[in-house]
Amino acid sequence: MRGLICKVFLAVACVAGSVSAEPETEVYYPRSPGSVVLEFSETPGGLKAPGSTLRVYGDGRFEVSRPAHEKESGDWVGQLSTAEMDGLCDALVARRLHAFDADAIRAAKRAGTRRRTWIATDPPVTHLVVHYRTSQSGGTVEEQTGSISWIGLRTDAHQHPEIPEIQDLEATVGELRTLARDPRLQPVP
Amino acid sequence: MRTFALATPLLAAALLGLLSGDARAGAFLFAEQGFADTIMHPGGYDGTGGSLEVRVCIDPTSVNGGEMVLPLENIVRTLNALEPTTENVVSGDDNNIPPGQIDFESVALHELMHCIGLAHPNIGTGRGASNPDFCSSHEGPNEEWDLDPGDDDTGGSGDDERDDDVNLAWFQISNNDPFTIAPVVDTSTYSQDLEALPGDDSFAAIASREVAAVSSIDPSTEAVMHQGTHLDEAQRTLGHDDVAMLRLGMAGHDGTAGTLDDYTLALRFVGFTVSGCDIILGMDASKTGFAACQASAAFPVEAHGSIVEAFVYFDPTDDWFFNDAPNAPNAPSSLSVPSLSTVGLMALALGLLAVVALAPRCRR
Repeated sequence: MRGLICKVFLAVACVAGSVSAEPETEVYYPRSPGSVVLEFSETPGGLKAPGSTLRVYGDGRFEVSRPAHEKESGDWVGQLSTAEMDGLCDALVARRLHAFDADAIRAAKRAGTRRRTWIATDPPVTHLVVHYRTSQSGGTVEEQTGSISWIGLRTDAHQHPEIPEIQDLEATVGELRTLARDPRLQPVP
Repeated sequence: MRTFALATPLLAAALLGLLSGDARAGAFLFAEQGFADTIMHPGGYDGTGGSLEVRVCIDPTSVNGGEMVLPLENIVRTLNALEPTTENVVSGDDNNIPPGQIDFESVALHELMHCIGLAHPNIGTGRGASNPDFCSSHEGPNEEWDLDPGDDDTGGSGDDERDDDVNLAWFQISNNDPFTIAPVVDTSTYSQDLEALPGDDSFAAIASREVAAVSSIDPSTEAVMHQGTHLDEAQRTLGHDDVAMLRLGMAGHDGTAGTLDDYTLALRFVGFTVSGCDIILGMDASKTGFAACQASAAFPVEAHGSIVEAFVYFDPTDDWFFNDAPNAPNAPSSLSVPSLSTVGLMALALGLLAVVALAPRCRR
């Protein structure tokens, strides 16, 4: 449905729903070749070395940089189709990652904390930065950046099914992990 | 799984005496999950003393399964021997790891020890502290980390000023020295209670290489359970703290060494199966971005818990090095382990019991 809205109302941008505090504000992700839509990385929990990084541009180009300790290390580049990019933007908007309030969600986590009898050790730190735009009804457009840093996302998604924001973040990150190993990636010469 | 009931208190005490040496402060799994003062035990421990068999398996569907066998056999021997070592961090040209690769055996040893109940002695990267190398703890009532390294400027040592942070690590009461071990390891000689610290010490000391350096110990000494491995680094033998924490668990539910509920740890590599296993290892990128132990636990007795189910996952996209050197001169070769196809055929033909009977490799 959002994809349809996106295509109907804006030819070159993915339209979001409205931001709750300002109902007349639209959120969308730029779709021009030079615009970075998102940056994603995960720092391994048990390893004193960085993980791979993923960057997605508005035209669907995506770049992956893998450190030496990963197989097929080095710099790679791939291209998402327009439909795939629509899907990615729609998902980012629908999951409201631009409005991810880490402090509030951590507070919700703490409020629900009880003794846990399941554990996943050595959790990674997930980093996600989204670059989006807000459009006011008066025509003002602003560049915005949302930054999320989360420890133990897989574990929290397993232990907190009642927190939709964590589920949405894990769903997005899962897709980005897959994208970072997309078979269409080609080594950068 | 229990194989046979055993050990008189005298025998247990004798074994503990033989194993005495150096050690350090450590912690137990689930301490950070609301069980702060709980000692964790491997799967199958129910308070009955004896030899506690822990059956370790490789998921037959995992990639690199065959290459895991020899490192896993080494790990089983290492844990069953419970021999504390120093200078156990071997880097660069001094190990057999090609540059840039990650040593599977070292990481698997760490994760497997999680899966039998041990936690990081340090805070680690999973808690959001600005420095993960301070002693494992909670933020305390002020809900903030208080990480003053004290006069030695080294986090994790005994002079750390931690304000209201709540200690989760067990330390040796007599000296808070992470590089010695008490002759008898139990709750009379190890404690989490900072009131029991000796002398002027203000917090539990842990076995990081940084603390070793300021303690006049070779800085290539570190507990296996200390979180954070480097590339091209082997850490395949236990530190003293690792041994001390395992032995603390082996004192049983009564926390007293030399009594009937003591157990001895007997890990056994079963082979390629997912049935009848206490711990299953495998490569699975959907479970971890590096390596992890995923475990569930039960807590039937106050201040004691046991692992119920445990898996060790590794990320197959990492460039793992699989050690091909046995750690015992007369160790059985991994070539004698039934191959994946052999195991599969046996399983089909004879059923699981036949696989279990034919696959065992490692002996104490």
